[in-house]
Amino acid sequence: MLIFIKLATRNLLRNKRRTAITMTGISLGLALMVFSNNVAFGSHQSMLRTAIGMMAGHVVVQAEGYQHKPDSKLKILDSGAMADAIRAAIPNATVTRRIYMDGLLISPVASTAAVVKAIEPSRERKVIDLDDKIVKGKWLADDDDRGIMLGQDLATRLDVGLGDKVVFMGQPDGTEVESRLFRLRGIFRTGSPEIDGFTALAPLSAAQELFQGDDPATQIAINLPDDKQTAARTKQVRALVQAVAPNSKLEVLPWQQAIPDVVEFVKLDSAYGDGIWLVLGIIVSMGVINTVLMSVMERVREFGVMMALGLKPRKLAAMVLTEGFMMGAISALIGIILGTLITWPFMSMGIDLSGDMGESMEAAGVPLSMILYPEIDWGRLAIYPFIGIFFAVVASLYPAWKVTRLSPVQAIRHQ
Amino acid sequence: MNATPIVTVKDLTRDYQQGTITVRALRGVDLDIATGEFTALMGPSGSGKTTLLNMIGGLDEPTSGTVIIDGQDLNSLDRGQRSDLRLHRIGFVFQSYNLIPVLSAVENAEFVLMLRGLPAAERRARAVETLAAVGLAGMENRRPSELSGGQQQRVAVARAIASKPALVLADEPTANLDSKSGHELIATMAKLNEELGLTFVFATHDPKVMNAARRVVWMEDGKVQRDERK
Repeated sequence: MLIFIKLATRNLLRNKRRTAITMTGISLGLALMVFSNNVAFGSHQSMLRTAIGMMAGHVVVQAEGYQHKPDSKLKILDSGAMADAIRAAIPNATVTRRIYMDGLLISPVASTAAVVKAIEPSRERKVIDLDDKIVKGKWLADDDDRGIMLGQDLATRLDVGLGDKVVFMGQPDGTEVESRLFRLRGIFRTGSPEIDGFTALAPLSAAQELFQGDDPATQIAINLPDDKQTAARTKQVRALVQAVAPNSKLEVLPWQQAIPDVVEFVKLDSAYGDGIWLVLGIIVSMGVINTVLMSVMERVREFGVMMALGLKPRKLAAMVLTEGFMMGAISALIGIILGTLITWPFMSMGIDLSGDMGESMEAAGVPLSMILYPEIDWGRLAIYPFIGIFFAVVASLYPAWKVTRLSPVQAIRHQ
Repeated sequence: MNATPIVTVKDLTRDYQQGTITVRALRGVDLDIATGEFTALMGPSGSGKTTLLNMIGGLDEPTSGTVIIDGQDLNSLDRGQRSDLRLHRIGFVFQSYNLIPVLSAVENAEFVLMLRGLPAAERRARAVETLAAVGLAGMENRRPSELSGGQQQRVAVARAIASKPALVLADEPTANLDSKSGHELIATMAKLNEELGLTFVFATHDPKVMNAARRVVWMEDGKVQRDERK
């Protein structure tokens, strides 16, 4: 094997310029792949973090069936006691309760359908990441049970300003029509048409008054300091819920099940990116095939001599594959280092696309910032060397196969 | 000298197809070569010398007839087994040296030993010793491009004999050498034949080789015309 490595190394150095051009092609392709994957990974992570904070939690507790068919009648009773028990069990988590209500918001001049998300203001503020998106007014105060915040488009449709009256009207429990007066405390803009046009935030205490039963909530969201804890904490919360409320029909879901649309979007987007890179990999491989084939054709006579000396054709093929392997391995290493170095400054600086594409956009109902912050995808980084080697070795297969078909006599005569 | 034949060729023919024309390169060759012989296959271009040498070396397959090397019928061996036979029993010297350009003289000389899997120290020692035997002591680390034609052909001889093969086949080994280098190379091979008892078979036009050979097989039109022993 050592002789093959020695021969492969020297053969690669034999035509330094050609080897350098081929390896540069592989390295740059891989560096670009690493960088763009880091950008995609960073925006996916940011999207998931936003979705987890805004739409769920790392772990959520809901009434059984709510995930499948959201209905405000499906609720958790004695939710405060349940949330306290979870806080006691997981002290470093932010545990917050929510009620989601569909209904009408009515101003003195207009009315429109909306979703009111009733929250525990100071706790929700820690997880929802909305502070920098408040364009007018301020965040809700815990003791202000008349306060309401509206998305900017919603406020525009209702034609209301700070301090104006807004009335919610709906059938939260599915029986009586209930209404409640609020005063506008703040207006936010996330960039998501769905959120900005149809979402209002109100205090949980105000929403609870519209429901029957003790201390109701639609959802208890548990936000963890580290996503890696999700699976273990989900298990823990399930056991806890069973212990605290053995007769209640509640479901405990990790975020992957609580926001399936977002998870699916990320998977599809990643798969799409991978598809593009597969095509690029094939194109780069064509270049490698060409180089290896040229290098093989130049050495046909040498191969003939080696066969005459007793080297078996399959060992000759192994030698050609070793060259491809080495070229792939070295190029992959360079590509990964280069891709990571390119990523590095943008991790803190961000890539600002707001000029060309607006200040924000939405995907799967999640508002996305147009300043992308790449993150290093360590999991992927570990498999890139194998990708580089795979494509280089696969590209060497055809030249290697051709070598095995050589007749020693014809090969030695080859000019 | 041991009279056991190391090479037995029986009624050997080889046809080549060139478009619609069949070229008969060998037309029923019979030949025995005994262990330790120093034989020259002589004849004009196209007489079938190189074809016969390739058949004996298992590099090419006959149209009909048999080649037996050291008791093994080459027709019964597959490609891999013929490679093994060459690796363990036969050494080759080619007209245009055909050294591996990325390997040094000593690495070329030890190449066959490497393929045989000899331990590094042992093969290196043997390669250095063989290079010295062909007059290249001190040139071990030179690449082929840093050696003259004569020196390169000596490295090729060293590569062929370092593994102590039963048979050395040399195709026009002196064709690309000047007269002095040619003489020296023949003298070296004759010495190896005498001292080590190696069997040499040459395909050649060169009268110097013919003069040194103890047996000359004359070929013409793919047949053996005369077989002279000195």
